[in-house]
Order: sequence, then C-alpha cells, then structure tokens
Amino acid sequence: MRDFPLNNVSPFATMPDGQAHGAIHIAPVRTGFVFHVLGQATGTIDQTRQQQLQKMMDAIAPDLGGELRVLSPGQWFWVGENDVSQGRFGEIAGQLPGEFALSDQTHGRVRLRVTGARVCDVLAKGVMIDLDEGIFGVGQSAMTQIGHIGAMVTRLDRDSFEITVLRSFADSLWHELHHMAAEFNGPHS
Amino acid sequence: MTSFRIDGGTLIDRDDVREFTFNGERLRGFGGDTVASALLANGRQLVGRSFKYHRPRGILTAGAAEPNALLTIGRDGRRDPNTRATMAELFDGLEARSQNCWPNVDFDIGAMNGLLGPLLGAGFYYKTFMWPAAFWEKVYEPLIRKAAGLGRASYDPDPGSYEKCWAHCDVLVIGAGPAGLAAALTAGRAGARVIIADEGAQLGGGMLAEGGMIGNKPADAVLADMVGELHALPNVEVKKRTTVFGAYDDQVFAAVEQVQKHLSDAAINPDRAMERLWRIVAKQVILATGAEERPIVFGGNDRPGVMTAGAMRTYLNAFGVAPGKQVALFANNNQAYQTAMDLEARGIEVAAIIDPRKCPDIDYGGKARLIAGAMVRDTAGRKAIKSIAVRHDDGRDEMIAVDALAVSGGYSPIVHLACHRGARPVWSDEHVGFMPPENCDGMVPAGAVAGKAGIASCFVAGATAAVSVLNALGLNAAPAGLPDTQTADDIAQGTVAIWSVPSSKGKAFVDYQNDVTAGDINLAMREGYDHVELAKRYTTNGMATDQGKTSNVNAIGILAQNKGVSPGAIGTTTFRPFYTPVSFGALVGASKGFEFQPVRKSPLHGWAERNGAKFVETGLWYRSSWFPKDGETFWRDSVDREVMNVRENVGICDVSTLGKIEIFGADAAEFLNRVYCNAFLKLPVGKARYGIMLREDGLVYDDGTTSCLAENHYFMTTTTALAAGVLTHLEFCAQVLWPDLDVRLASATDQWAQMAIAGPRARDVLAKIIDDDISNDAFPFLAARDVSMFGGRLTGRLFRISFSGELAYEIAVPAGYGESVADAIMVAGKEFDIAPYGTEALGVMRIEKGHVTHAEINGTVTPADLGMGRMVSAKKDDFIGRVMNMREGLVDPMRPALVGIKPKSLADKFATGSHILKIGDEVSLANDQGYVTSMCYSPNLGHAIGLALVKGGPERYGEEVVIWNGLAGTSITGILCNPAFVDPENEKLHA
Repeated sequence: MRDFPLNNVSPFATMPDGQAHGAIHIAPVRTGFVFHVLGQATGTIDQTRQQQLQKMMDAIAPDLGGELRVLSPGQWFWVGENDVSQGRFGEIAGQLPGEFALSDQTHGRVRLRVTGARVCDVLAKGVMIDLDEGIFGVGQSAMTQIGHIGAMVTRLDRDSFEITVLRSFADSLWHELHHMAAEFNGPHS
Repeated sequence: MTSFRIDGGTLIDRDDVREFTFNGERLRGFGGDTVASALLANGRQLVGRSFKYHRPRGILTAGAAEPNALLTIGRDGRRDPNTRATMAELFDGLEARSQNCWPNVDFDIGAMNGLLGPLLGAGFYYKTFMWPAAFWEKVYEPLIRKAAGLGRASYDPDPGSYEKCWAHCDVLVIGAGPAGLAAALTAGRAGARVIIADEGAQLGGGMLAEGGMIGNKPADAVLADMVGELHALPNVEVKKRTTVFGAYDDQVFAAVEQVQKHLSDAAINPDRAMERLWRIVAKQVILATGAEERPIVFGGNDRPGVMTAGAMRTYLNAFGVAPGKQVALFANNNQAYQTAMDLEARGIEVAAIIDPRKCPDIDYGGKARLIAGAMVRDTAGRKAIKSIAVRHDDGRDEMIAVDALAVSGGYSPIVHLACHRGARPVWSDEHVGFMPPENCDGMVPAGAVAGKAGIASCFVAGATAAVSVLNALGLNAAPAGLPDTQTADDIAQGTVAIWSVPSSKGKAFVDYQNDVTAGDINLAMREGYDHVELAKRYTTNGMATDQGKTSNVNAIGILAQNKGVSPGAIGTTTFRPFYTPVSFGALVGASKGFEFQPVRKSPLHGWAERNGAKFVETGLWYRSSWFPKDGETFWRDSVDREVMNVRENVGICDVSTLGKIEIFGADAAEFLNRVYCNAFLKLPVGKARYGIMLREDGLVYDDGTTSCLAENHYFMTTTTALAAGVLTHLEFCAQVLWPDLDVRLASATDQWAQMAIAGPRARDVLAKIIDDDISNDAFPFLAARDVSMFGGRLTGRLFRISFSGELAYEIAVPAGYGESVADAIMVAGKEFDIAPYGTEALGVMRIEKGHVTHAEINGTVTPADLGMGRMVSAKKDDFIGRVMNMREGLVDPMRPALVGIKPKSLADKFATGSHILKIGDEVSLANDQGYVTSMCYSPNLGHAIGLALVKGGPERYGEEVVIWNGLAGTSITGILCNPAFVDPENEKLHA
C-alpha cells in the first residue's frame, strides 16, 4: 500500500479550460500555492508592513515568488504559481519570525480567472465592490462575495480578475459565473 | 389605423407596424407605442373595471402613476397581472386582457355592485359582517377573499431569468427629464462617473411631450442632441427603462431595469435576464423625478375619456393620438393650457376651458371658449364621457358635449425617494403641493420636483444642482452649456387649490384604484378617522399598486379643507419603498431552482459518488447519507448493515464537513482555556481533548475536540452546523474581549479531507498506509499528531477520537489527496471487509453510544444537563459562561437531563419529539416530564432506542414512563436508562 498512487485532484478537474469562442473566458487555476499569513491585527491595512513582509518572504523562499494579497488587517494570502510540497511549507513556516504564523490553504482555497472586455459587467452581477479601475486597480484584492459565495477578488489586469474561493464552493461558483456570463458567451449573444 | 391616430408622434415608428390583441380582439399599433397609446389610437377608451364598484374605467395618465388601466399582459409563465398599460411597451404578438370584469369589460356583471354603492362605503366590511358570528369563517371571509385582489398571478413557472447587479457612481441622476438631462450633462462633462436612470423607454421625461420649439430648434431635436451626447460620454452610464424604486441607508438606491420584458417571445435572448435589480451606490444624488399632475375630484371624474392634461398632451405629441374630437379642459393652473394650445394646433376642437380661477393670469391666444370662475360638476356617458356639466360662478349649470376631458388639479412633486429614509415632505402654499424635505439626506432635488415649471427653468435647475454636487465631490465645474432656452416657455403655474367640487352629485373619486370617493373621506372624518394614517386605512385611499400617486394629496386636501387647516397640518402618510411595483422575479434574482443557494461539496464528494452514496443537504453541504448496495431497496437496509459492519469489522466515513480552525499564537492555550468551560491550559503537544463551549448565558454553545499540534499551534474541530459561528465567536473573543492575547485564527475546514476510520479493525487498516507506529501504546486514545503516510509521500493529521464509540481514528489529509487516500483505505481495508458508512449510520452509532449532537445541544442545556457537569472547571478564574452557568435555575437538580430511553415492549417504536409522562398521568403541560431528542433503530440491540431530556435525569434510570406522541396520537410504555447503550465502560475506545 505504500506505493498506492496518489493524485492531487482539483475541484475543477472536470471543468474545461474556458470557452475559446466566448467573450468572457473562465479558466481554473490548477497549480500553485495559497498560504494564509497571520500577523497581529493592527486595525488598518499597513502598506509598509506588507512591504516588509514581502521582503521577508522573498528572503525565506526566493524560489516561490508569488505575491501578498490583503485579506484583512494583519492577514494576507501569499499566492504563487509554483507547487509547494508539504515539507517545503513546513520549512518556510518554521523560518517565519514569531510575529507571523502560516497556514497552508493551498487545498482549501482554489482559484480561477475571469477575463474579457465585459468582465466587470459579469462580476457586477455578484460582486458588491466598485470594480472601476480607478478605484480597484491592478494588483488590488478584496474579500467580498460573489452572489452568496464568499471570495477574494484580485485584479490581474484591466480586463482580468482572479477569484479565490473555498474549495467546497468551487463547483457552485463555476456554474454561477457561467450563468452570469451567459449573455456574453451564450449562443444568442 | 383609426381616426384617432393623427399626424406626428415623436416616439412612434410608423414603418414598424405591430399587431396585438386586447381581450382577444386583434389590433394594431406602432413601434414606440405603449399599450395605452395603442389602445387609444384604436379608439378604446374603456379598458378596465374598477375594483369595488366595477365602474368602467379608461386611461387617466401616460406614466407610472396610472391607477385605472391595469391589464394582464402575456400568457402562461410570462403572464403579468396589474401591468400599467401606460408603461407597457407594445411588442408584436402582445396579448392584453382587462381585469376585474366578467364576462367581459363591456358587460360586467360585477357592475351591479354600483347599485349597492350606498352600502359599500368606507369601512363597510367593518360594520357589515358583524353577525351572525358563525357566518364569518364560512361565508363572509371566503366571499371577501374571493373579491379581494386585482388580477391573477400565473401558476406556470416563469421561463425568464432574472438577476441582481451592483453599480457605483459619483453622481446618480434619478429621472431624465430636462432637469435630469442637464444635470447629467453637466456632471458628465466635468468628468464625474454618472449614472442617469429613467423609468421610460426613452430619455426626456416631460420633453417627450413637447411639440414645439426650444430656442430655434424643435424640441425633439434638442432632446436627441442631449441624449446623443450623454451616450457618447464614456463616464456616463445611461439606464433606460430603469425605475429607481427605493432609497436606503448609506446612499444605496434600488432600481429595477426592464431588460427584455418589452420584447416579443421571438426577440428574447434566453441568455439574458428579463429584469435586473440594481443596487446603486452613489456618492451624490440628484433627484429629478418631476411632478405628478393631480386629477380634480368631481362627479363622474372617472369616466373613460377623462384624463390628465399632461397625459393628453403626451398622447398627442409623442404618440400621435387624438384623445377625442371634441375636448374640454378643466384646469386650475396655467401650465395645463399648453394642452389646449397643442390640441388646437393639431386641429382638434377644444370646446371649452373651464378654469375655477375668476381671473386666470394667462394670455391664451387660442380659439377655445374660456369659462373662468367655473368648475366641472359632473360628467355623463355610459362607458365613455359624452358631456360635462359646468357650474358657473353665478350658480348656473351648463351642459357641454365632449368626448374627452383633460383635467389638471395642479402638480405634486414626486418626493418619494427623498422621504424613504424617514424625512417628511414640506407643504408649500406657493406650489400647492408637498415639496421635498429641506434636508434631503444626500439628495439634491432639481426641476419639477423642486417646484420648477417649464423646460428653461428645469435646465437651469438641473445644471445648478449638478454643480453643487460636483463641488461637494471636490470637482470644479460650471453649468454645462445648455440649449438656447431664451424663447422657451417658463410658465408660472398660478395654481389655486381645488380639492373637490362641492356641487358634484355623482360619485367623485379621490382614489381611482380603490374606488375611494370624496364621500368616503368625509365619512371617515365623521366617524373619527381624521388622522391621515387612519383615514388611509379606513378608506383604503392610497393603497394597492399605485400607492396613491394621484390620490394622496387630494385626500389630504379634503381632510384639511374639512378641518379648516392647511394640508401641511394634516401631513402625509409614510413614504416607504417601493415607489412602483417590483416583480418577485427581480427580487429573487438568480436564486431559484438549482441556483437557489450555493452547494458546498466535500473533497470526498466524488469518492462518495463513485461508491454509490445517497446525499442529504446539511445546510449548504451535501453529505453522504448512506451507501446502498445491490439488493438494498430501503434506506434502513443500508444503514443497519453499515452500523453492524463498523461494530464488527471497520468502516470509513467522510467527516470533512466538520469545522476546522487553526489557532496560533503565544497565548493560544490561555485563549482556549477561556473559551472552553473545561481546562485546556495544560493540554500537551500531541494530545486532543473534548471541549465544551458555553455561551455567555451559561448554556452550551458547541462542542468538539481541540488538539495541540505544536507549542502555540492548536487545531480545533467544531460541529458542521456551527463551523462559521464558532469562528466568528472566536474572532470576537480575540479582537474584542481579549485583544491583549496573542492569538490568530484561520479557518481550515476546506483545506483538509477528513475521514473517520472506525471499528475493531481500524488500526489494522490504517497501519497499512501510515508509516508511523499507531499501536495503542504509541498512539493511545486522544493522541493527535502529524503522521507520515505512503512511505513519506504524504503527511496527514491523525486523531485518535471516536464519535461512534468504536476503536476509531480520524485522518485528515490535504483536500486534493482526499479521494486517493479514501481509495487507498478502501483497498487496504478490503481484507477486513471495510465499507463506507454515511451520516445516518453515524447518527445511529452515536445514539447507541449516548453521544450528543445539536439535537441535544439545542440552546437550552447546560453541561450538567448532558451528564458532563464535572467537566466544568471549578479551578479556572474565568471562562465564557462561568458566572451565568451557576445561576439557580441552571443548577436545579430537577432540570431535564440526558437519559437513554427504550420501549418496554421491544417491538414498539417511538418518535423524536415525543413527550415523557409519568405512568398514569393525564396529558398536560404541568405533567410533562421531558421529551425525546433523538431516536433510531439499533441494529445491535434489535429495537428502537433514544436519548431524552427528562426531569431528574439519571436519578430515574429504570423508571417506566409513557412516551406520548401527540401528533400521531399514540403512546407506549418506555424505560429510562443509561444513554450509553453500547460499551458503557469505554473499553472499545481504548482498545
């Protein structure tokens, strides 16, 4: 049994990589890591503290890359595209100073990307925050809801967003996003 | 087309002929028509019957306030009752039907109610259906219910979809009349993010009815220029067919957009919503909602052919529809004279202008005869107006033959949105109307809503309002260059209040929709219901779909007149959302059918599906309930087998849905010690402990295990139901109660796939995939730590805990690997006859073991009630619920406490919820001893067993009691016993 094949199954395993012909492209992200960085809550989003933390992360794990996304005061998601083993995670967590704790959420928080010229119109059907580029610029993140599903929305580009959602909601969110995008992607669009 | 369709009509496209039916009759209209304009163009003045008296009714208005022309439009699932014909756009194939009439609108049996008019006055059913009392339920109520309501909703599912959206802007302009357009242009040109919303199919508001020139250009050309510029501005979002219906706190406005309801079946895109509910968040708001023209209360003012002067002008200029061939105007203000001018300009005879003002200050240059100081007293005609009776100021009556009558009793600013958040409108004698509150709470009124009349002054008002809100936003702006309005008319209204015509003999309607007359208002006053809120409810004035848009101010005026006070002293009723009716579809949005609520799937969902699981909804989760095998046709067949297999061999159960919280920090142990009622300060690394959380009131909130994985790192499990609640509670404790403690909390529920492996062979199975020593010595009961699996290829978290009462472990692995690990366990356990088991079998086993869930932790119990009183620490300084848990009432030894219960005759069954009585006692609340909280069939024992909360609890083991089921009408004899039916000595747990 020690050599039993182990597969890391994405909740999007059976989902297509997006509708090539659609005006709105919805694609799962099946690789990478999501670490929850927990610092002491300060009550405010502290940019300086985030920059210091980013430097610290880069020093501890230069191989990982990735970026910090603000989750709440004193808390971030550290998100990157490289796969990270459990052992490597343990090493990184062990090197963090005591003022920070690290929780692996790679399997618990899954990501997908929504792209297209009308992407803001699609997301406005579920997201209550102001997605105007002047307000919510490239690189910014916000914990919010898409319909009734809690999610982190990150702007990757003018017309591209990444959505991080609890794994258990992935299937529902996938279908909800397609429903929201139907008027732009459907055969009648 | 008929002779009622004349030249002109800025909104219609005569090349786009559209066929529709009205009460089954095929008619034609044009693209751009409303159903109302198309009906009028086809000579249909009679369109419906009134609610109470079934009086013939026509079209009163040309907009959202229409109280009369409520039609059922569409069929099957697309059937919409109570649709205002004045707002419904005509599409090819539209089917419209009159309401509240039988057998048809021309001949309505219900019109006999009119003969009973004297008996059906205000409050008649409060006085009439008093006796005999026995008649109320059997006769009166069914009759009243049958008569109540307008229109019938469809029983067919609506095939259309609906959705909800959010929008954000710097400036929200509500209303796209001249003031709104000027405001939006000014704000748009200044670079602000603007949303302009209007309920109409076209922008323009009152400008759409303008037939003349604005400056040197035709009004429709000016409008087209302004709208074109707005559409061209990238920072301006134009929302047509969008009614802002509610103003809420924090500058959030609700609006409903008709996306496709105005389209024919063939034109509908099934991938688009029919309607869209907008939540608009605006930094600044300009209220340009205009003013509603009031009817005048006189005898027979509801006869088809009577309509407001502004509506008549709209049908004339915007739709090319003549209201009649011989028209009279009855108006108390100057603005209404525009209608007479436009009628004459189109060659329609204006038989007379009746003006109650003795010396109206207006230079009317038309041909119509002006009768000053006079009033229309009554009308005549069966299903349409034929003549009017005019009472001259010398008391003389004169009959004038007309086939249409335009009325204008002044203008009521549409202040609803300004008042939705609680502010009250202010009466103005100058404007003879209620004006927006002085402090509009973040809204700036502009145009007719602020008492302006005429396009010129509305342009200026809109632009000025925009500058003020732009300045508030920190943007420097000047009023945008607006169309040349120097020659545009800017009329002083000169309105004189006329609340009702005193000499009227016929029914003089105040509220058309509810058939409330001036007599009803007077009666309400005489009977003491003279407060405006009481008068509304006694007479029903201002109720139903139109919410009194054309009636409220007249009713207030009549009350004021009778009491000899100003209408301002009477005040208005409370303005509440919604401004106009909103469909349930729009309110529900996409949350219907499969999308009613999100579904949460366990990381083992696919594995469970492959193993044939039947799922049950548990909150949002889909949990595997049982796993039927071939030949098992009844759920109990599967559940009994699964239970016996766990007790005798080994089973695997998905417990991933349990809440999991990672707790970090130097003060994590102290934190846990304060949130649990039992001790946690000294929980060693590598150990789990069962904990009970109390609420502040001393009652049990939740239970679960918490394991110490490392110094300053704990892993808490909660019940599935309270996973989010417990995390919220802990966050509150950390942030608010004890901010000095170094504690950090992370939800890890979704990170881990967790499986319970239970049964005498559980260790044998796990030993095949776990590299570490998990013997009883190396990994005893309540051990908890990370373990190496599959030759070091995976690390899992192993917990020696048991809910089933068997030798059991729970193994958590990263969720993505859950299915593989479960598959591996199934392969490893094959030689031990492993089988998956679901939540039903889990429930049976926990009852057999006497373990509690939220069936017992139901918000009313203490730890002592559950037999766990000794767990409550007496040594700790404090913990949540400590003080209140010691209240006298919570330590009463006769409180209901947990016991087991079984039938005396083992073949008997009983149900959860059954009550416990002493043998021989009558069934009464006073004799109630408690109730059954959980029940199941125990395949181990071969009979029904249960848990119950019974007064005195364990002191009564062995006592025979009655298990009474009031719903089923049965009672059996039961025996109270130890709740641990299986392994009361806990030998299996430590095996």
